Amino acid sequence: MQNETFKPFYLFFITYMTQMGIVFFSLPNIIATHFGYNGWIMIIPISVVVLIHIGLIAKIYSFNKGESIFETIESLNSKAKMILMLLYISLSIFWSILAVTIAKHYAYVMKFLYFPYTDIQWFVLLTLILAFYLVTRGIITIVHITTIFFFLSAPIIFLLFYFVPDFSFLQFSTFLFNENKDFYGGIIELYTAFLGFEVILFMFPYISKEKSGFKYVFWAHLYTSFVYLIVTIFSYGFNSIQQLTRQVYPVVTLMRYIEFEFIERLDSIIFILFYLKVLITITMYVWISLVTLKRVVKWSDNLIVFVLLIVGYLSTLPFVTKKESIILLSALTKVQLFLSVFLPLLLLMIIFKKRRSNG
Amino acid sequence: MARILLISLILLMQSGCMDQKIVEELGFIHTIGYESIEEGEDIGKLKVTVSFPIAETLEQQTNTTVVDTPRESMLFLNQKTDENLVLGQVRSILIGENLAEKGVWDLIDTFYRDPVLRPTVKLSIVKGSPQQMLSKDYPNFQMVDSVIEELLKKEARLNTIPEMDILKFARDYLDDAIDPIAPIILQSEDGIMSEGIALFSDDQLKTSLPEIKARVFFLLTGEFKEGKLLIKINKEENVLFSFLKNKRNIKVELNNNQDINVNLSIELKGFLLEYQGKKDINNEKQMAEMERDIQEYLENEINEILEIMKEHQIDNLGLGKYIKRKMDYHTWKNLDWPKSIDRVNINPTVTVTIIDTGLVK
Repeated sequence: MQNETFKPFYLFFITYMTQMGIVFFSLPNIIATHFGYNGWIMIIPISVVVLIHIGLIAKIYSFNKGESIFETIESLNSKAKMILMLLYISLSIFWSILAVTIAKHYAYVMKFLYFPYTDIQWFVLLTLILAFYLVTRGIITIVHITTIFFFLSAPIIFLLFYFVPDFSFLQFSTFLFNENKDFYGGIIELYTAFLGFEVILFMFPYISKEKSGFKYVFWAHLYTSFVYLIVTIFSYGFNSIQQLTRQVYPVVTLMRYIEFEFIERLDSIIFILFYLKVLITITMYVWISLVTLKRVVKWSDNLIVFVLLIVGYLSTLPFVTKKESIILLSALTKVQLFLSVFLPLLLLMIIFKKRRSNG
Repeated sequence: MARILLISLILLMQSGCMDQKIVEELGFIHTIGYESIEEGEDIGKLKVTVSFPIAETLEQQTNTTVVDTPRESMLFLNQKTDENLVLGQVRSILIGENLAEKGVWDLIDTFYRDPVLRPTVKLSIVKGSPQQMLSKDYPNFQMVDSVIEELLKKEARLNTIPEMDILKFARDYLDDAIDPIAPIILQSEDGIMSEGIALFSDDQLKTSLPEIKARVFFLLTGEFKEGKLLIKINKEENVLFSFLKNKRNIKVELNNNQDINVNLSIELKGFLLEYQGKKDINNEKQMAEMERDIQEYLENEINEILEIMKEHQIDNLGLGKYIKRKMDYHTWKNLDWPKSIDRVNINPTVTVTIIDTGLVK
């Protein structure tokens, strides 16, 4: 399995599908609450910073020449192996908890909006079975399934055309960022909405070596930014700003407004289609925790994933209400943000140190 | 592995069955009416009327209850029928005039919050009692529900009443630069008719515009797309005008943030369909005179609407949105819109062009 590689072209789908998460549905609300009037503009600078962040990862990729980042880290010092093992174990547990929390959060939103009688634990458990299946089949299968899911869910964006007649530039006003709350907290929150690209770090050995293969990650990020931007602009043009700060899921409300002669309540179908995207995000985080834990234990993939999912599932069990799940998710994504900044920097430091000692 | 996937997929779909609803057992509420009780022992309470169609007989059933809060009503209404009442198919909400004067946001907020309800539920104000409107037997039609729905749609298309739903009402209510509007309907002798526009201040009904003024109102919002306009120049002269094109332009001028001038210009092009009066409509000079007369008439109507808005310190046209664009944030906040609307000089100018006068010379 180690020798299996996929074409860099697929990086586009995997990056986009992991990046876009459940936060999408509340994004205009987050932006309106934190940045106030014309807050959608903030997507652009944040997206540029994320682009630089991805640039760092691209640099690591080109220095590493397809070598796994674990080998880079371990090449530094063989004495610190114990610490590394502990780090690996805690990281993989962290990612599996993150994955289960994402699943749970989706289930909460779905329960609230459409299926009030659904048992959340049951739904999460079944999602984890699906994730288990996907992860254990290996990265090539994941990549192929992701591509199929992308084409199933991507056309949703065209529904925005429905709102063109009701769209009004007057709603924007000329104020900039007035009536904001916690501007800097908003920057972090918005940044976490872009997270997901960092899973590419773990894929280096599986990408077939081609010139400028990494550009697909950039394209995926630009596409995510575009989708975020256009949905937020439409939300601003359709709602008043005071209304946006009140709606918990403005994108769901936007979709609920769509009514065709032949079908009503289109939003539920879209929301369920979005499950595919969430499933990919979960799968990717479980997958990186699998490859991380593999450096420590010599079990079979099935066993590792099974253990990780059990650990993740049990650790999120105490979080029962939606509020608790939101607090947990936001804390975990902040840690993930820290990791995604810290890890590439660490790797670059190691690479430069190696180069200096070699050169 | 494939087997596990299959099994888990089937199990995943099973979770949908937990939420099953059997259509035959449900009463799909179509219209809900709210009014406040003005007299008797239940004074101040809320009277809620729901109407829902019965599938077998194609007739509608109505149910009324008296409650303290809107949500409570569903519990009581359910006790009175063999159907399990659900809100997922509600098409319109009727609010009694007396309740609207007290404020409607509490009511709309409950609907706005509920994920079961669609945000496109139409909102209208009823002159009189929604209960009487829904429960009366009309000689000409069986289901008053769908008549109301169709009437609202049709009249909105012809620009006599606004098309207002929960989401749009919430948008304008929460926005600080515009006040919401809603259509008014009333029960006539043999049916139901529309009665113009209800003008709100925040969430309270302040005043209303009759049907002829309503069309002029839509000229001002720039939403007049099609329809006819009856113009009474004076007692002898009546013109029926059919619009083809309506352009509206709003320009705001600020002098030291003190004087606010709003220039409203409206450009109309259309056919003259009917004329009663002494003028010769084939004479170019007299045609130009008539164009001027129509302009004058419309400007008068517009000024009257603006006077009504200034009198009640409301801005249902959304002029505030244009003024807001010309100001910085603090000036806008200090302006205390729309209470300061009488400080604003609004100058309407109308240009009318008659393109043709019909098939007969």
